[in-house]
Amino acid sequence: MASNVINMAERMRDEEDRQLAALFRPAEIPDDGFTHAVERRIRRRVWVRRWTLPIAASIGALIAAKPAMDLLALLPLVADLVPQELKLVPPDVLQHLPGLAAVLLAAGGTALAALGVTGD
Amino acid sequence: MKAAPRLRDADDLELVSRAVAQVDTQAYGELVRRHQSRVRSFLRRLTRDPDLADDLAQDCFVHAWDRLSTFSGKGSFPGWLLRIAWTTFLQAKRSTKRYGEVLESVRDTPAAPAVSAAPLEEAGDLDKLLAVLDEEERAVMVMSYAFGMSHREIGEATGMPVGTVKSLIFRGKDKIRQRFGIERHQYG
Repeated sequence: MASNVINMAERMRDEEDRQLAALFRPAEIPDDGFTHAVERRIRRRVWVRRWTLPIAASIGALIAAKPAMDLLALLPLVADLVPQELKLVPPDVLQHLPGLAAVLLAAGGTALAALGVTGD
Repeated sequence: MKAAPRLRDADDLELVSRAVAQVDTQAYGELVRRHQSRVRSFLRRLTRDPDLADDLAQDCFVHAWDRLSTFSGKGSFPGWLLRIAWTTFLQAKRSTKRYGEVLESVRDTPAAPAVSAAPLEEAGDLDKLLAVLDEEERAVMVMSYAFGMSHREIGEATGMPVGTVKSLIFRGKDKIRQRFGIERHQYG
C-alpha cells in the first residue's frame, strides 16, 4: 500500500517534470550574424592587446629620447670628475654611450615586438 | 561564413586548446557558432528581452574568450559558458541602468491571472511562467528543465550549494502551481 502511494507520487512528479521540460524546451535560435559579431569583437580585442604594449613603448621611448640623450651626453663630463684609478671603462666608450643606448633601446623594442609580447 | 571541415570535426576541448594556444579566433568562432543558441536562449529567458539578452550573450562570449585558458575541461564547455552567462547577467544587473529599466517594465507588467484548475499546458506560455519566478529561480529552472543539467552542474554554474538549487526548483514549481491554481494531484 505504502509503496503504491510512493509510486503514484513519483509518477505525479515525473509527469510534472515532463510538462515543465516540454514548456522550457529551448527553441533553436538561428545564428543570424551573431557569431560574426562576436568574432569581430574578439579580433579587435586581440589586435588592441597585441599592439598596445609596443605602441605605448614606442611613444614612451620617443618622449624619453631627448631627455635621456641629454642626460647621457652629460656622462663624459661627470666621468671627468671621477679619479682615473676608479674608472672601470675607457673614456672613449663613454663618448659613444648615447649612441649605444639608442641602439640598445631600438633593439630591445624590436625584440619585444618580434616575440609578440603583448599587454595581457 | 562556413567553418573549415577540420574545425567542424573538432570537439569543444580541441577547439578551446587551439583558441588558447594559437590565439585562433576561427576556432573560437566555431565554439560560438555551436553554443550561441543555448547561451542566447538562457539569457532570453532570464531577461525576457531578446535584444538585451543578445547584447549580454555577446558580452558573455567576449568574457569567455578572456577566461578561456581557465577552462580545465573537467566539466562540459556549455556548462562553463552558462556559468559565465549567469555572471555576466548578474554584473549587468548591478551596473546597467538599462537593465534596471527592463526590470521595472517587467514589474509593471500585469501579473498573469490565476487560471483555476487549468492544466500546465493551458496555463499560458512560457513567458507567463517565467514572470512569476524571480531571477535565481528562473535561472535554475531553465538550466534544469531546458538544458537538462543536474543539480550538481547547476550548483557549479551558479555558484550555489546543491541544497539551494533544489530548494529554488521546489520553490519555483510551487510558485507556478499557486499562480496557475494547479493542485499537486492534477499532474499526471
